Amino acid sequence: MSPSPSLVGCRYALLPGDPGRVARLLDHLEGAVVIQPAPPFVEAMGYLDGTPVVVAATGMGGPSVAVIVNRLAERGVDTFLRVGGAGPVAPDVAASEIIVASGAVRHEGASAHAAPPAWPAVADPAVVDAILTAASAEGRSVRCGVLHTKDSFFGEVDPASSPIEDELRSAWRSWQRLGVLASEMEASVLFCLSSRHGWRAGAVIKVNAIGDHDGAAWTDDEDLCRLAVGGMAELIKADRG
Amino acid sequence: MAELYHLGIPTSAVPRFAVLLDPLLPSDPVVTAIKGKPLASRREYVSHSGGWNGHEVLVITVGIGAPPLAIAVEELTRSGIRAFVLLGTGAFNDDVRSPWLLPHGAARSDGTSAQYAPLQFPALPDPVLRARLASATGGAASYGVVETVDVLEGCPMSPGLAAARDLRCAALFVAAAARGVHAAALLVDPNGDEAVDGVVRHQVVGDMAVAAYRSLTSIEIGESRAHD
Repeated sequence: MSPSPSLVGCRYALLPGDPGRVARLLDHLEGAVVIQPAPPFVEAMGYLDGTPVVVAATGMGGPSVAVIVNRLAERGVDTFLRVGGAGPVAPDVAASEIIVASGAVRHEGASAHAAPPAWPAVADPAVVDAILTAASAEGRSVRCGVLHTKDSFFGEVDPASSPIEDELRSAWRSWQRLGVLASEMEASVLFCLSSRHGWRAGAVIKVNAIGDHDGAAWTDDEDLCRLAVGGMAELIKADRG
Repeated sequence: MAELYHLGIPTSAVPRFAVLLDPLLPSDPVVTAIKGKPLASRREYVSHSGGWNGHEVLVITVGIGAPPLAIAVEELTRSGIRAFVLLGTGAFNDDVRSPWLLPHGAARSDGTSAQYAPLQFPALPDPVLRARLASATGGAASYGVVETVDVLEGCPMSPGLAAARDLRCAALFVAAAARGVHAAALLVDPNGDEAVDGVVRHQVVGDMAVAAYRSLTSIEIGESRAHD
């Protein structure tokens, strides 16, 4: 992929995992232009009050998100907001809840290439606070807390089938007792890369119905996309001072 | 009367909010701000209680390093404290320009936090308390990740990655997560511009204390998981 001149001057990125969410995020931006229309790595751009924002699908998992954000950073992007889905970890988290990440458990491989193991995968406070401000402005109740980032989706949803079943279940109980809210596959890698390179990153996710948790499966991510774009708008406003 | 084993505080006297005080900082301005009365003095723990804006608050010096801090957090959490602000010291990097550092995360190069959680778990302050504390400092603090170590004389983990090094934050944040209570920290450098001959000026510590009390008493307190 050659550098796209159309990203010049663009420092903000919205990062859905699913390429299908790119178009739904674009609906909330002005002057949308699709840069790379072919899945999986759909990329587009639009404007928030005159400020350019790129929307790029990361695909699933740490390795994929690392490639995508590094390519965006090469083209000048330094502020990233992941907009994704996650499964519940805390027993009192319900499907369709929206969670703003304060940080993430590094239960994956890719972040080790960015930071030593003792480093916390942490969201940038300015990004966190911007999303919380946007949520508050639209009267939306959200939680803010720690996500769990893993490499193996089926280790989460079907640990019984795993040769390391006991280890997976034991770790899962630890995450629950530490107050971890939900589990996904990208946040800790995005956060550690951002610490390493001096970028800012955050994540806002909507909880899927996985396992025996209450609540129906959702297919509508309109509220998630609206909040993510609203949070980005708040951040741009704060950056302008 | 039942007393906390290491802290010597009567269990009946433990409120919901606590300031954990680095013994390198002068305690007078912190205690005076809440018109504090002596509560107990045992081992390295010196405790006072007082009031802020109608709320009862505890101030306790926490000794050196994470191990005695964790003991204090455990005994206080089991007796009713639901939110902690650590007023601490750190060795700041030269590029920290603000008088105070407000850690939004801590690298876990300490031993204590590992006895609570696997290393993959991030040591983070409570996001709401962290944001309230930032507001209460009126812009005098900048955010940064601090590396918590057990020996300050050792080599930094990864040069330039952390904004400062300290002896407590990671253990505080992880222990608080394990117990389901709120915690945040505000650090000052005793070798920086806020100090004279290694002693942080009383006015500075008093201002830090006010920020701590304001933020602590402004949050909604959740239920702890102390008895999971």
